[in-house]
Amino acid sequence: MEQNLLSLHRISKSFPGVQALREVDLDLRPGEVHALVGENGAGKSTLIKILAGVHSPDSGEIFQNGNPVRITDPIRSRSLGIAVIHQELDLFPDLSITENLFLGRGLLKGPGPILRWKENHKRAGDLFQQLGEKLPPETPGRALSAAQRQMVEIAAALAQQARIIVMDEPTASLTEREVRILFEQVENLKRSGAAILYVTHRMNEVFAIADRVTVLRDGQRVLSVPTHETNRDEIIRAMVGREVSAFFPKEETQAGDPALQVRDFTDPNGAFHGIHLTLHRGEIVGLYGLVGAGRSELAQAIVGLRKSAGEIELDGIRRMFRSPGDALEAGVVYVPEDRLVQGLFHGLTVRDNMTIAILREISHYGLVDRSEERRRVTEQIASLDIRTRGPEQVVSTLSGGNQQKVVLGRWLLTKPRILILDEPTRGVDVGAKAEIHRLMGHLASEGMAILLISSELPEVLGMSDRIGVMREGRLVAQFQRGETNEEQVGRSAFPEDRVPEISTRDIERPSVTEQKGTIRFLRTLSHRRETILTLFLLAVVPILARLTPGFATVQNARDILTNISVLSIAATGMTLVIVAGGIDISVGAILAASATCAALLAKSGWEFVPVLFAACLAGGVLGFINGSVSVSGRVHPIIVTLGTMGIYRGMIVLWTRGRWVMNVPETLTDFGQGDFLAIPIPVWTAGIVVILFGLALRYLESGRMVYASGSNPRVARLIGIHTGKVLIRTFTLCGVLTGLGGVIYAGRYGEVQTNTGIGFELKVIAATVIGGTNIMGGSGSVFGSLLGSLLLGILSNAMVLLHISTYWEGVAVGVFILGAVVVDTARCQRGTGL
Amino acid sequence: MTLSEIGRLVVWIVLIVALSILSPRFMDVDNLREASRYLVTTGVMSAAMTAVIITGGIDLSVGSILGMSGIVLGFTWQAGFPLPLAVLIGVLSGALAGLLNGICIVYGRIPPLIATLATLALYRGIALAISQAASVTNFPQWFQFFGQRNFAGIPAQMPLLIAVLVIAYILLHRSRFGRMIYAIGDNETAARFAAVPVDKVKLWLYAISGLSAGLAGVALTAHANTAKADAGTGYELDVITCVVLGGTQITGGKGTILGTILGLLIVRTMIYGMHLLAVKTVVQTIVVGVVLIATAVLNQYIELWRERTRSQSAGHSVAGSPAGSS
Repeated sequence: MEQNLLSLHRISKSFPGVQALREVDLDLRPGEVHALVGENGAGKSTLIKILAGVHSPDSGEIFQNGNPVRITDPIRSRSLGIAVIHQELDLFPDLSITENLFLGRGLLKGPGPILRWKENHKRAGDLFQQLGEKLPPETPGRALSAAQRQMVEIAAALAQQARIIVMDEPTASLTEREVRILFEQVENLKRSGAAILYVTHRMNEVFAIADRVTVLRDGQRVLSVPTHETNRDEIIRAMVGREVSAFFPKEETQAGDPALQVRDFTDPNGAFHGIHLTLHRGEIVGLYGLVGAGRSELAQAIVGLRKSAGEIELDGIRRMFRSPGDALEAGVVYVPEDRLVQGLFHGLTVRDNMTIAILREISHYGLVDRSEERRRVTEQIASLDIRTRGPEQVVSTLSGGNQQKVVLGRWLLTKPRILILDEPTRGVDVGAKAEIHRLMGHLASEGMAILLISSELPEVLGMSDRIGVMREGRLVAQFQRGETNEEQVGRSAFPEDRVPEISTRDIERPSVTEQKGTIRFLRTLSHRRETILTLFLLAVVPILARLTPGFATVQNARDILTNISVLSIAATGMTLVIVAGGIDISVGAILAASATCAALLAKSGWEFVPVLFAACLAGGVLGFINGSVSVSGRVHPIIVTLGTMGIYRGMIVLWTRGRWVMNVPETLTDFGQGDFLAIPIPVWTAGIVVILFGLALRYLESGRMVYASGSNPRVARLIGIHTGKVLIRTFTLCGVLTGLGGVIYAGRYGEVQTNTGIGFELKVIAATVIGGTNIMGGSGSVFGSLLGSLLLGILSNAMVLLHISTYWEGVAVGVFILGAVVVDTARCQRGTGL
Repeated sequence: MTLSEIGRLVVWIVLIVALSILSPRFMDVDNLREASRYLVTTGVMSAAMTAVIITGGIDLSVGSILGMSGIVLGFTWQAGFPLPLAVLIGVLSGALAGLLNGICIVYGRIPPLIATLATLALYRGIALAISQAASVTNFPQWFQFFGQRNFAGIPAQMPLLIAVLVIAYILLHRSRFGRMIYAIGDNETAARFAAVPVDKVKLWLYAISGLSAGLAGVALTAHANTAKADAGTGYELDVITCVVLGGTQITGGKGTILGTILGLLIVRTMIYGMHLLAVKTVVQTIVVGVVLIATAVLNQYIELWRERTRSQSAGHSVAGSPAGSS
């Protein structure tokens, strides 16, 4: 079938306990929009992941233009011309839009390897023109709204000349206007001959834009027709229609008193608004809805995992839970949706996993009562029928269904009065599912109030006494048991034709012109660190000049600049390393090593240039060792450089037999103490290094790749950057630069002591971090590190002139580092690792 | 005892055998006694560091806190306070320093690595600033006894180490607190969902680490009969090496006190042996550095191998599940 750009034939995929896809066929034709619809869990995302190269199908074939292909990994997927536009961020937060589009994929250069920013920005700007959006291409990824990020990903697909474009729920966070623009882009893509797979649950979009529609249900293709041959009802029926099986035994019970009342619950971030919900004793309330309806967010807010506004009444008493611990004490518990990330302690035993929430109960004076613990765990394993070798089995080796039971068991051990279950049978095999359902019925009959969040209609219909339906953050419908059917419930969950109401999202998100102002402000914010520093320095200088007469002299200025020359050169190297995502605390030892090397070689008669070369080489080798051990040994650089710090220093002492190297000959001292055009040579050297590397990081693609590696290593690898090699190179360069610093050191002071460079690494890191380099990687500038070095230099100088003991220097360095990092972390809110 | 702990015990025994062959003075009781005195400072800090690293964090400032608390002890005593009170103040200053670390990490959201690197400079600076590089010596007899003499045949400081190790064992392996530490180290997100008070635990943990460094500072001051600002410089390397050698993963979630004890014994036995064989002290530092890196790399590969065999025997891999399907 050569008319198909991509053809999937009888694709099947299973995961432990669940068959995600069963012999699914799918054809994607050029110039056609093919909609893919289905409930949560129908298999849509598995199919997308197969196209993206994240999963491989168990059986079936894929053909491209009639030729069989295998999509083995994401890079292969891209090379086949497939572009998947996700909802999650697949961008570099610290890099400009232009780089996000073109890095590694055809940035314009010339002459030679020098990047042509103006032209590249223009290309990006033009692309956006096509998409009808005016966005300054210099904007960093993190400053973009969700809609804008999506637009960038679409632009990237265009730039990549993708032939097959997969859009996964693209309108989930878009306003009216943005949806219209998206549709125009989709039309453009159609006209260019691309095939578009449009995954959605919004019926009106299917009919507005798709040429064909395929419905998945329980992993199978149940309907595949041109859109003009079908209607909304038929599609919904295909999505949800099935017999309600008889094996959900929920007995009819009399609902008791209200146990939990939620009133006017609203999420400050807009995930849900004005929710009113009541749970009675002995009742199961099912909460149905599609992805993004806000159900999990609501549940998490109820137990205190999220902040929210509104009222909760527990048995008639007003409460507010500030943490899950609070809620637990009151008997309200939440079993999370994603057991892998939010539920399980993978490396710990069944016992550990189960008792984590009842530790206080089973402990006396803080010590855990092991036999009581074992008793309760064994009981729970039995009552839930968990298939395990015993309480000491590590949970990562259990099947999905049993893992879910372990998490469930954990919460049941707390004997809750109100149990909130979020997708409790997702990814669980049929047998375990039935057991969990039986359990739920039993618990309810004993008086527990249960809120069941589920995306599986049969489950919701079979288990619930009452059903609530959430749609886009609001509770839109309530049904009593037995009064409704799948179609009715299903229909209320799907958004109607978009009524041009003003959603709160429209109000909160500023219009494009306002955004321009916001973006411009953000841009100045990112430059601000350097501006702040410069202003600070400019303010401090006259103050110090007033305080000490010796400060504002030419000689003093020369001294300061010369003093910081070694520091700023090393800080340049450290900037590279930290931006790439690493850190090197052995630079003090590397400085000492290269200074010693330079001094000894000079003393044995070597000429200047060979000495310079040898010392830099030595530094480079040491840096290379740091980098390669970290990367190949997969050990965090802090541990490696902690070790090499000791090793390198030890080797130096061995080599010099503990003696100082004195009387460094003129070949070096001329360099370290001489002047050129009335400016000390070390200052020239530092200036040249800073300018050179500053330019390289800005104008060479390899420089931008350093930023990419640190900003988002996963995406960097996706576009083909070898992040390990990048890291090793930065460590090596840092070593070379520190080596250069060592030569200057030896020349300047005329001698090298055994304790040379002790504490140097702290100053280098301080200068880099003060200068605005983010310790987590991805952003920073060499010029900023220079300003940081200058600040530190002025600080030491001032302390000497003001007769403040230099012992306070350590305190100052420590405080500066802390302050700088707090400011940075607050600015970009990245997750913390080590 | 787990397989890895037995393995380390074997390594230690082999080391002892090899060294006693190489050096006849190895098994000399007096030598052993003197050497074991050095176990105390590193050992006390290693116990706390084990817990810190299990949660996925790290504390690089312990060496500086050691020096600072020694100085606080010395100068408070010199200022006229009774020595027992000065000791208490010194130890508490360590705990406070640790608490400050915790505050920076929890509320300042500073990664533990950089926070404790900064406080490494800060506390050392405070120690230098208070003392102006002067030292305090000539402590009372009983204090010197504690540091240098023996009690019933073993060094007088040994009971301190043993007490700390026992408490650490109980805390980590038998108490609620310990369970929460392992949980946080394995999956911090899941710990929060499971109602574990993660922030409080971390604050306590870093305070305890500071406290242990404070104790070590007192012990070292007594041993050397001197309080000086540069005491403890570089000790973080020793401590972290013992912990990593003991099998604790840098990435968190795994580690035992027994493992750390074995790591401590192996490292100190190595150093003792090298000392007897007249190996230069600098070479000892190099060896420790090499051991740290080698064990860290080895630990990683062993863990990778274990995961691979575990998932093979279970018949599936955790990675392949449809979590988050739409």
